[in-house]
Amino acid sequence: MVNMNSSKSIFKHLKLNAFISLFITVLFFSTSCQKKQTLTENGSTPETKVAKPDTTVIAPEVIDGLLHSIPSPLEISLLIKKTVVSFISDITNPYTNCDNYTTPFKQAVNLGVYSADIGYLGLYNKQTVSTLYVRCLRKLADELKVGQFFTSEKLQRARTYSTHPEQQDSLLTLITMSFEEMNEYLNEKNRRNVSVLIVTGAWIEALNLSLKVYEQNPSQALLERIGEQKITLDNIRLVLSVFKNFPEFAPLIEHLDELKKVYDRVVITYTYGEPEFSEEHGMLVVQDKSTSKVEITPDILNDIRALTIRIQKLVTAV
Amino acid sequence: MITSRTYLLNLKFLLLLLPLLFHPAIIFPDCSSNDLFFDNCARNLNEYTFLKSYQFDQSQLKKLGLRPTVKYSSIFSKGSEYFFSVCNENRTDNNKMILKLYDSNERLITSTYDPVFNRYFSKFKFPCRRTGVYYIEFSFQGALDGCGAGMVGIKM
Repeated sequence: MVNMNSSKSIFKHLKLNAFISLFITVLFFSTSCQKKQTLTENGSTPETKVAKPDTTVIAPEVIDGLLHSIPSPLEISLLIKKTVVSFISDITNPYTNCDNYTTPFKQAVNLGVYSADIGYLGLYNKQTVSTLYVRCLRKLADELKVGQFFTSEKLQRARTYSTHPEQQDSLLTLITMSFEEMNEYLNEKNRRNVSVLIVTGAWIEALNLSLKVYEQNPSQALLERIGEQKITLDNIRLVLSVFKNFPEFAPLIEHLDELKKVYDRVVITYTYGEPEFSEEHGMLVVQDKSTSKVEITPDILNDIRALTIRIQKLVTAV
Repeated sequence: MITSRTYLLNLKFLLLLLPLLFHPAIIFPDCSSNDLFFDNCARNLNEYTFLKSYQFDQSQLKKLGLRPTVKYSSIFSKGSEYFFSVCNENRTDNNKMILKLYDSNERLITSTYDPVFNRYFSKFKFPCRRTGVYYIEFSFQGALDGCGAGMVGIKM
């Protein structure tokens, strides 16, 4: 599998002058930038031993591909909205925690957490509180030097993508689009440790929200989506394993390994069916005849819930 | 705003830096020079919400001696309706970008090009009934050089 520039690249957003500056920056500072980030992530000083990503596990290009394959938090929020009409308050990570995330590790993982929260709040049109979360997300993004992906200009642009350009819809598009661009940028800058943490944080929070919503509004569809997270968890563990030598990653990896053991008890069966096709106003419509079935017992669900709460607390603790 | 003189000076400077183009961080420059092409393609999503995008520059792959197709994996969820759209830059009749969707066993689900009837679809929708890994492959008809973008949207 070849992984290449998968989305709008940073170059598209830069004028020529900026492009040249980027050349110079990349040329002269790429190595030192990488080292600095590693140090920062590690919380070490230049005198101490520096942890390095274990790229013998997976090639960087494969990491990029895996990161791109992971569903955005928007997808799980959409499902929550589809299955549960009423909004449940106080299940998101309080935005007031934002200022207390001072290490790059916490900032990155909680940038992901808040993006999932914004997805959830946005779908229920909680505009006032969404604004506070967006402010928080921008703050963390600025701290991580990726604030350029969450500007109001970006929001304006995202608005033009939708035929229903109301605020919240655009906000969700902005978050999804900015995440894609930001991850690509971080990967190009050899800051995959940051993008992996952001994606992991978003996934943990999306799972946490689903479990909390399910607790109050059980539905078969949501239960199946919770069980299906087994597939995404495998990919997340794979990309995290590259950073197993980073001390701050270790507790997170250990917890997710435990979660994996629980998810191993979830059974997903597939039935293949030959797809059929139709045409609607010149558009091809695929009738998917394959199906998947998820078997997840209440015991397994309880174990997933208990562990997810622990992991969510681990990453959001101030 | 960049004046033409500044532009030329910058261009000369850029040419001096051309050998550096193959720095790993910038190995796959975008074929699309501005946001307009991407934005127009994104507008095809209509009532679908933007989910993922892919850019495919076949000439870059050829220059690097790589296969003229590119395949990405993506996890799609049962119960969600996905919308796929492909946009060609400088499209000609003989040079259309093709998107093929495969399941986790790499069985072809559909393609934007039907070689039997020589029909081309620039978009299709896929109501997913099976959660799992899917593969999205991009190529160009006739293996000609081309540049384009693929968009995936999800129904709100």
